[in-house]
Amino acid sequence: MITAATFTPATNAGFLIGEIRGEIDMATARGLRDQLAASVPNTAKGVLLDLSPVPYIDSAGIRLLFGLAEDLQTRRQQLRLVVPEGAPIQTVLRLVDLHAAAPIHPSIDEALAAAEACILDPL
Amino acid sequence: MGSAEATDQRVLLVEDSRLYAELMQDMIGSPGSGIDLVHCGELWDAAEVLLTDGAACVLLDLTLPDASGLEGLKQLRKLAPDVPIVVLTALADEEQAIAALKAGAQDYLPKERADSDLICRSVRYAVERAELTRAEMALDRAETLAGHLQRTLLPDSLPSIFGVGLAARYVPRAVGASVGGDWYDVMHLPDGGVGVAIGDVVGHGSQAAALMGQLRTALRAYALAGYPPGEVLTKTDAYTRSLNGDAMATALYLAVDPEERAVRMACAGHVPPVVLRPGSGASEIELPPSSPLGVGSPRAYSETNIAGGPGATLVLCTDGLIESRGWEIQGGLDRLTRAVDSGPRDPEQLCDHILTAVTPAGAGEDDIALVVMQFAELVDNPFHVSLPASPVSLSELRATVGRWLRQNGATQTESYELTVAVGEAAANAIEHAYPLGDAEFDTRAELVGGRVCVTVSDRGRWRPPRGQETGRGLVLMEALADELDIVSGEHGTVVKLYRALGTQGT
Repeated sequence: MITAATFTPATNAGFLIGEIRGEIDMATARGLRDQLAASVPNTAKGVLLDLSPVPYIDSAGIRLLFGLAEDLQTRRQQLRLVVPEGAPIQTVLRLVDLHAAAPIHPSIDEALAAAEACILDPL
Repeated sequence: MGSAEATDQRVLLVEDSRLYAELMQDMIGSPGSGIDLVHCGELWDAAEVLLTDGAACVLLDLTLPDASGLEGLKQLRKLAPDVPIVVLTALADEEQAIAALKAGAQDYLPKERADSDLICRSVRYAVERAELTRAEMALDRAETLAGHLQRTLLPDSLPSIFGVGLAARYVPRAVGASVGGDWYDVMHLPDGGVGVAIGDVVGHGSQAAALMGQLRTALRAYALAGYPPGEVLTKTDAYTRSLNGDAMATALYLAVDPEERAVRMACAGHVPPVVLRPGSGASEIELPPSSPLGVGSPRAYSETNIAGGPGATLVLCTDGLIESRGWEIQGGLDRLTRAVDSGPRDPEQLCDHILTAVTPAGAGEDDIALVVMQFAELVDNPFHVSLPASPVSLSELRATVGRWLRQNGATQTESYELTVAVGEAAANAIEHAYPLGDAEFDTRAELVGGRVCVTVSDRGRWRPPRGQETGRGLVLMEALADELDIVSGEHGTVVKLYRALGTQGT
């Protein structure tokens, strides 16, 4: 199965919104990382990634997300993830403290609201 | 010589006596004789003519100024192994003539006795025999090529699939020594199931083998795209029609669900499968009538669903197994059913038994493909699987381990969490423990007294996690298993993960 990210063409209030579909593991993480790196323009205020259609993620996938958060951070861009309540990958993300690198929200709307609030009221 | 016709056969006369050459010209090289006689006085000239213009045949005198005895013959043979050589000898020298035959000459002619008829006949005979040999060699090469093609196109090993035992055979046809167009295929489907295909292209030889390769690939592609069986055959039928010529094949495709032990299948004019369920006799599965791929008007193929059940065996074959001259196909199917009934349980042994017991007396006119597929008994415990040390093995391993855990009573959460831990152990085996090259790693799972033990072992060296990056895999394994045991030695690393089922983990 192919794991890939798709992005909505227009940014929403300056944020790029995308979705990853498929299992993220050692076999798929590299291709996904290249795809993500090529998809985010400098002009975006940040990226909101919906992981709802990701049934499985392993440490290679976690490494990818940490790396992406770090890359965006140096460009002063936010990375926010969307993982619904009760999603199977929640346990894994919690165990490795992913939220320390990228805040995790239960829905796109909440992620977008938090992202905008963060721009208006920087920490 | 200037009068040579385009259709004349060029015969090269290598002869140092000009007188004899003129005599030969009169005897066999006159206009209208069908022979364009080219004369060379020395071996050296003859070699040049052979290399530039070629010749249908060489008439070679064994006494030449620049090569004596058999030397000239050997050199010309080396130069043009395909061109037949007839040697001209003195009558008294029979011994040398025989030596010449042994050295590769087609024939010998005593100069003193050779008349026009004899020479012409000898030349014609030599040329014809050389052509026949060339045709045979070309045929041999074509056979080898087609056979090689067919072997390349068939899977060299079957995937290891938890919950399904598989064995397959391909027997090339013996009579006529030409390859057929039978094929079989087994693949992992995107929904976690297993696709099994078998088919038979009408015709023989390299063309059938090549078409077989195309159809096998097309069917596999549609199956891997996740289409249901009927749709897979409908699309393969359309593909068959898109090819030039009168491509035609029968095929049977099964989408197997190892967890539910159920089979969905579609048939395109192929021999129906035989099913054997424990506790009942073997029987042929009744399928609605269907036509082969590429025949008649385009149609949609229908799907037939059957429940397999624990331990059920399905046997798929091509008509080469059950049909031959003098045998009705139904008689063959009956013999197959009886053989499946009385045969051994193990899929590999059952394949051998079927081939021996069913193959008709006059067999060998057609090739045979045979696939035996068997659902596992309800609890396959412990289980063991060896997979290539490649990242692509991970999803297969996860699917296998997850299925095994759920079959053994693990909850969805327990199954998921343990699968993550096993995935990390396997990723370690793949990422760290192997130098480049072909290698495998083993996974064993065992349920003892409500406690699961999964062992992932490789034959490489464990490299301690470096920094936070690789450390995360270890974090996950430790958190998701009750107990983690890593033993690393000279001959490899063994990771053992334990977890009690029925208690809340993390």
